[in-house]
Amino acid sequence: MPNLRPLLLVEDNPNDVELTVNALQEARLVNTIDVVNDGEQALDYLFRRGAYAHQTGPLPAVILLDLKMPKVDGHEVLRAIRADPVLRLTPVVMLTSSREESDLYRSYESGANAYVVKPVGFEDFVAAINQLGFFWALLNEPPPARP
Amino acid sequence: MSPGGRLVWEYRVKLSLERKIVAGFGAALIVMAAVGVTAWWLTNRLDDTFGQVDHTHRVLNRLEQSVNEMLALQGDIRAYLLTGDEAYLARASRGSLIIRESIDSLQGLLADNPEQLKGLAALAAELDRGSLFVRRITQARRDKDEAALASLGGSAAFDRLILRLRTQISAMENEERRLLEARSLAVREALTVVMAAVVGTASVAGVLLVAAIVVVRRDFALQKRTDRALKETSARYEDLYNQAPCGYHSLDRQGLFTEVNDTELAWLGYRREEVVGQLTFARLCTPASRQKFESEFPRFLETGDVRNVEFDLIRKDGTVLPVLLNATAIRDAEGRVIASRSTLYDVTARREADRAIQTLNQNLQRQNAQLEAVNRELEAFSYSVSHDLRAPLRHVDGFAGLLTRQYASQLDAKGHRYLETISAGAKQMGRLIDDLLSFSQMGRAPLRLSQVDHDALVAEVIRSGNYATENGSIEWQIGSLPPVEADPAMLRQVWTNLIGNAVKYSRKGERPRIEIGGTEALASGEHVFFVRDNGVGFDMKYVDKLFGVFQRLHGPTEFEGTGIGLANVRRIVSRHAGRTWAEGRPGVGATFYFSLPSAITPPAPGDSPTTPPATA
Repeated sequence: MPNLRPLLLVEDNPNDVELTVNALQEARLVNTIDVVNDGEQALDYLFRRGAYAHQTGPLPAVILLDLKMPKVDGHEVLRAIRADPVLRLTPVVMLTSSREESDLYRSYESGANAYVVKPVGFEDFVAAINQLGFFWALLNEPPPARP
Repeated sequence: MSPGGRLVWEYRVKLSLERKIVAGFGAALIVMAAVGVTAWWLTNRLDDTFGQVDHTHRVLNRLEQSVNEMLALQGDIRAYLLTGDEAYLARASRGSLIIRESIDSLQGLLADNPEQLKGLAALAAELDRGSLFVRRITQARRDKDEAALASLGGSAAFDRLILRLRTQISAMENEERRLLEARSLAVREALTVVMAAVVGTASVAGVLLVAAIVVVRRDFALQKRTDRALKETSARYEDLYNQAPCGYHSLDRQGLFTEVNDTELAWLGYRREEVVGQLTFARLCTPASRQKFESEFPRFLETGDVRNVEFDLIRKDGTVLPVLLNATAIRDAEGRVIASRSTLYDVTARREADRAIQTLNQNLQRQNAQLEAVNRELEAFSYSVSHDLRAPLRHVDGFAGLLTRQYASQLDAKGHRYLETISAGAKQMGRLIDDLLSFSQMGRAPLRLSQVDHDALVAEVIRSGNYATENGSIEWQIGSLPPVEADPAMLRQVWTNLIGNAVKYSRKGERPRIEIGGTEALASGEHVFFVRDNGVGFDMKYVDKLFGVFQRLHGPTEFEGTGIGLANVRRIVSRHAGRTWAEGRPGVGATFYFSLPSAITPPAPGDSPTTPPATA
């Protein structure tokens, strides 16, 4: 049975959104892909508030989280997720341009499940996103909703 | 001889000198007293003897007088007998009385001489007989009794009588003269004894005095020498005290100066009389130092010891003299601290040096802060580069890729070539950015030193490099590499770059061969490693350009690359305190060397501990 949980992409750059969504679509996943454009929207989406107050449905199977975003950045979003008793088990994959050690360190410290640097080359990028989508949407067993 | 010993010695000399003086003069005094007593005694005796002589003379005088009176009496009696003149008789009667008195007075004078008394008694009897005879003969003359006169013998009988009397007196005189002689002799003898005694004792006293003077003089000379030596010693100590290259002073319990040496006075610009008994140490202190003194001094009076306390003193001209003070206590018999004994050192130079060091440190800290600021900016910059510069490139290549995929049918060959160029350009720029970032990171990231298994590291680099060649496999010659202490990730980068280069520049050759090796620790205290290839090599005149950033000896069409790899190698090796160099010949090959110290020094300043900095 296909996993009907959506994938959540948190990405401020529309180009990246388009490339990423394209690559995910190439993986022919049945999951919906929800996109939010900054950390604030991501938190609204996850905590069902603001524009997403009436949102229903299951929590995402995985959150693909950019680091550098306006208002609330990826680190803050990650910490908020890990601090929440309901959300804290949700898999989070950092999807970023930064190869900085400090970003890596802080992300894992805050509880990221994976850290992927977006490849610059198109083919590499598509391959990486395909693998990500395949792994987290199909291969990986998400945590149960209630223990 | 120690000063203490000298003092004891002086004391002994003084003591014995005093004793000698007392003994010498005491002996002289005793002898003189003896002389005095002797002389007094002898004089007394002499006086007695003189008295006796005098006595004898008086006796003789009386006897002489008696004889003279007797002669006068004899004349008077004769004259009466011839003339019958009663006047002669009256005079004779007076003379007779005088004679009687004389003889009677001799009785007292001769009381001590029984022999003479006997003579005197005989003389008195003779006189009585004479008187009787005179009475008879004068009676007979008065009566004109010739018969009686005749029977009496006349004046001849009278003359005989007088003669007997004179003989008797002469005998007495002789006796008395003999006595006189004996007594005079005794006087002379006594005088001789007195003279001898006086001369003798005086001589003894003189000798004693001379001896005493000699001894005293000798001791005085010794004392003088001792005094001079003492004075010299004391002058030397005073000179030591005054001219010492440090300040000395003593304070009483109130902190008032009781002593101070010339050096300290010169430092302070005061005269001694302005300080000693006039100023307290606190008065010379700056307010801050005065506070310190007021807290330290009571403690000193308790403990009797102060070590290395710094004070700022105010000179007479108002300038400040920084000093280092040490003090020990002078105590009374009960062990109570009564005064201080302080040593001062002028620490102006040290204080200035401290200040210079402080200034230097402050400058260094400022520079350090500036460097840190620059470093932070650089980090922010490279973060921005890593994130913001890569994103548009990804978009360029990404959308070019999408275009190729989704609109391939609508493009001709030229259009495809353009898209490929766009894509290749974007990818090259991506590599450039990655290499630059790596270069920047290798320079900034802290060293995480650990023991590195060199053999395993190099094997892993070669395996992960997946180096295949167009003309078959590369011939690898890999020697044993000693383990080193290094940052494994960085060292891996070094080998990756060097081996990558060797492969890159040799694989187009016919029989590519890559040799890798290393030495055990050399005498210089370092290991040397090398990677040698038989590739295209390089001209040694460009050797200096090899390790520079963006320096390339080959065009991009010949060999791909960004020109950062070797720069990165050099940077990493030098951060490990090692060296990098190369040898090459065009068409023959190249050898790249690097050295690492066998005992790694602690990380250079600025390399923080292993926790990475938290950056946004």
